[in-house]
Amino acid sequence: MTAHADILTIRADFFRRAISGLASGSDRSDSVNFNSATFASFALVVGSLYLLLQWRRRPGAQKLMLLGASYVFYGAWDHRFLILILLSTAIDYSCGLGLVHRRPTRSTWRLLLTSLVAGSVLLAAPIDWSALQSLVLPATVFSGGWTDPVPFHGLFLPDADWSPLTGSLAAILIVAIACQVGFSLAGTTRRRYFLLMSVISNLTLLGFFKYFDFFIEGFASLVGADAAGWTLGVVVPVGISFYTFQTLSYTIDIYRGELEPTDHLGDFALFVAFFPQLVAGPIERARVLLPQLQRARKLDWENTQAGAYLVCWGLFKKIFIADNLARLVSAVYESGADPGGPEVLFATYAFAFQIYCDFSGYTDIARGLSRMMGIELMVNFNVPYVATNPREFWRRWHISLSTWLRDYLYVSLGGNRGKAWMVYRNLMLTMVLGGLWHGARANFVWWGVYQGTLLCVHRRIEPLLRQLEPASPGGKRVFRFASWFVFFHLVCYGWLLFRVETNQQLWNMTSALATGWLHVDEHIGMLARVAWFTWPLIVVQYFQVRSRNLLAPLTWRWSVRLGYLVFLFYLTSVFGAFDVIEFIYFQF
Amino acid sequence: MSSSSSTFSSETVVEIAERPTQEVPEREFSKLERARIGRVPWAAIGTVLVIGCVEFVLRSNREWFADSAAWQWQSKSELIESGKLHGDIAVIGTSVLFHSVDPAELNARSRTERRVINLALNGLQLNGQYHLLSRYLDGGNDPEFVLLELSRVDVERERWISGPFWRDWATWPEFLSSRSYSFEPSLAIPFAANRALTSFSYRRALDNWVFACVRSGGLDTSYRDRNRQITSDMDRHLGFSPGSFDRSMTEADIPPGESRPWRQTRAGAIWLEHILDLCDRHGIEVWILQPPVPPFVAQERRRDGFRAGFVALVADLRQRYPRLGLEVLEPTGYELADFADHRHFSPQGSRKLCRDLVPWVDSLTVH
Repeated sequence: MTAHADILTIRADFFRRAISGLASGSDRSDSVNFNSATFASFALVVGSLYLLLQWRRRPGAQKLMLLGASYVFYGAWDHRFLILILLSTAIDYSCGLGLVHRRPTRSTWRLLLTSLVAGSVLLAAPIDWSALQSLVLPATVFSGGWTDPVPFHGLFLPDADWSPLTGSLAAILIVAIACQVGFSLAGTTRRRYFLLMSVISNLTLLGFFKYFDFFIEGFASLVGADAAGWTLGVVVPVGISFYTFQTLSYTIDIYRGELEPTDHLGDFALFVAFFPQLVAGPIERARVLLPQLQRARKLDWENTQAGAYLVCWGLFKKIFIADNLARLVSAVYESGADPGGPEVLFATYAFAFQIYCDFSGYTDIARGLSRMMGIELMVNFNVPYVATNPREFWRRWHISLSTWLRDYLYVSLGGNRGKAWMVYRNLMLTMVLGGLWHGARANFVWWGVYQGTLLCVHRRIEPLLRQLEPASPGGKRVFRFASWFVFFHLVCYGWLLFRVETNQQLWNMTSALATGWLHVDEHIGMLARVAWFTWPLIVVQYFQVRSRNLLAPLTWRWSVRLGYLVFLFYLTSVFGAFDVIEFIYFQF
Repeated sequence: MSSSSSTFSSETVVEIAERPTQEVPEREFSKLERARIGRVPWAAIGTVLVIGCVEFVLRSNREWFADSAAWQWQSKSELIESGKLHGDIAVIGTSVLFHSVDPAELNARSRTERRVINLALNGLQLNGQYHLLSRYLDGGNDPEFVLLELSRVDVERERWISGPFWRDWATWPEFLSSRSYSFEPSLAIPFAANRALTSFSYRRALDNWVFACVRSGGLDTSYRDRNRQITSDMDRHLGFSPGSFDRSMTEADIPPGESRPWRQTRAGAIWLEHILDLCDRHGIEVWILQPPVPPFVAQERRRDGFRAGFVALVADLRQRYPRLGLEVLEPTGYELADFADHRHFSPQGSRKLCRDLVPWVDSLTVH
């Protein structure tokens, strides 16, 4: 028993060292934030190169440039995690071909392995990059005194830890052997083998980096043991949930016969790493995005203008609404004091709009940038807060995830088929896993359970609600408003579950909701601030809903549009929060 | 999550999911997004023109809403350009000296003909001090002495890119001289935005002013009146502004013990050298003023070895700049009531400092 424990301890220690570089000192730069000056410079450079290559009619070079830019974009956050994207690309590219009884050509296979090994050495070896920079860059670079040149004592860091490199080389070796074994198989066995390989390897990467510590801690608390020696303190690589789901859908679609795999490694690599949607979606389907990357792209004036509008609207939602509301939310959720009911309710309203504008703002910017490049990404949000029931909400909120969960999880579990209890089970499982997808924290599980319960209850009472609905138009309107009002508050309680960090805080906040209502006037100022930051959104969404058009402002006459754009500009410029606050969904 | 969808987006997604082929769904999602866009983007062109006009109006009327720190910079800049700050002894430093050394009082008390002027400003770090002094000297001024406040040798990036110097006052050559482009080229974007857009540069001030207008139900004049007062004060007092440190500290105001070691960074040392080189080139004698601090700060500094760092720096500078003099002025005997906080003087302390500097002004002789 002791020997066994020792071996396990040694293994845990090896893994801890192997990811030590990833676990500590991961200095998040603001480079991946769309609302940072760094990203603006990056977008300017990439946009100029893109236009230049478009003008010279070089679609191949354009794709290569986009791929390089996407890797630079991701690497700016933490270059070491690029190896995960490379590995994920290699696995799913090979599995995709393996699923249709093809295999990469010899030269592609060689290129794949060489890139992986070279990438591992450059990204995971303990190279002293700072000292190398000082050696290569001219002294004038350091003459501002902002940073000190690091003396060069050798290519590698002193007391270098080689375990990340050995870990990634071992992973490459395993993948290469697994692929070769798969290529030697035939028939259905081969198809199942490659599907399993893709699913297991993607979920292993996701599970290890995102959930390892969570489950170890959960297990330890269950058996009353100390988890300290077992957890690894892994930093979750930004966007891992998004690109993992995207690559998974690629292989599953091929397995289902709904998609032809691509032979072109570069196209597939770009599909995985396309920078506008790499870190927070939308989770694109290969059958939609890949063909757009494969063909030569056309730039047209309509798309450029619509894309530019989406970027501006996204920035407005992030800088004016989300980041301003973030302060109000933090003041209650992170104060450590005991807030009263009105404070919790108003802060939760603020969080409902913060998370919506933060996430949909990111999506709008991503879609706008892509659109300007002639690439269409899917609509991810369709005015979700007008929903009157949970089913409608999930058709409007994070559409790329909800449809992913529906197509690959809910349908695989049996979907609507079978007895009622099986449908409820499927709904509940899908939503719990959807909640867990957001991160390894108990409150995300509660949130998933809550959403699953809402869907199940709604499914159960839907016939009754239909019966209760009045026939007269006025009665219908009142009924619809009441449904909206009740459901909006149910959604808000869901956001409370989402925002808290501990079960204790969840309990405190929930019980606080019933207190302090005699002094509601003391907190009206807070509600006024929430209203001030959200009213432009509500007005625009009114027009979006009325015209059933998310680009409603682009159909207004030019003089009205001018006034609208000037107004948005000054709200952002004067009242925007320009401290770069990371997008909430980056952590997922 | 069931697929009996009724909304447009889900129908679209379902439709795509059912496609067996790899055909590109030509603008499938455009059913949810329809735009009416003409060949000439009149709205965009009009927006740019309107913003240009609004920015011009805002720029011309900054007095109405500018924050006091920015307006003090503006006023000092105007005073230098108009030649009203011509003097023999230039005091340069941060808010500590800006709000405490009143040249009008010093000149009135002094027995010499030498004229003291105050070039210190809020948030003026060593790089800003260098550029301000350069502009002052380029403007035809030829002081004989510079009194340089030195309690740290540091240029903090965050303070640099948030202060008035960065927001409105620094020129492009001054920005480039920071060499920030070597390690953070993207800083050029906010720098340009601050220059192009007054609404962005003065956003907090405008925010306050707009809500003040809403509260008063009309155009609020309180900021304009305050700014006019600042200009008038700085004009009459040769660059000095009384600031808002109008009450003395008491024992109850003493914050919990902090660490205040001597701060000296490479960027700070580079800009200090630039200042001393500039003085050397113009034959200006430099005096270093170590501003007095409240007794509790002095105690903390003794504990943290502040003095050793300061003395070592001065010894080094004297060796490298033998022609500059670099004598150190350290007024002593200050009590807690002489300060408004851990750095700034109260009105009582400010008057005391001025009185203490009078003998020094009288004793100055050109080496």
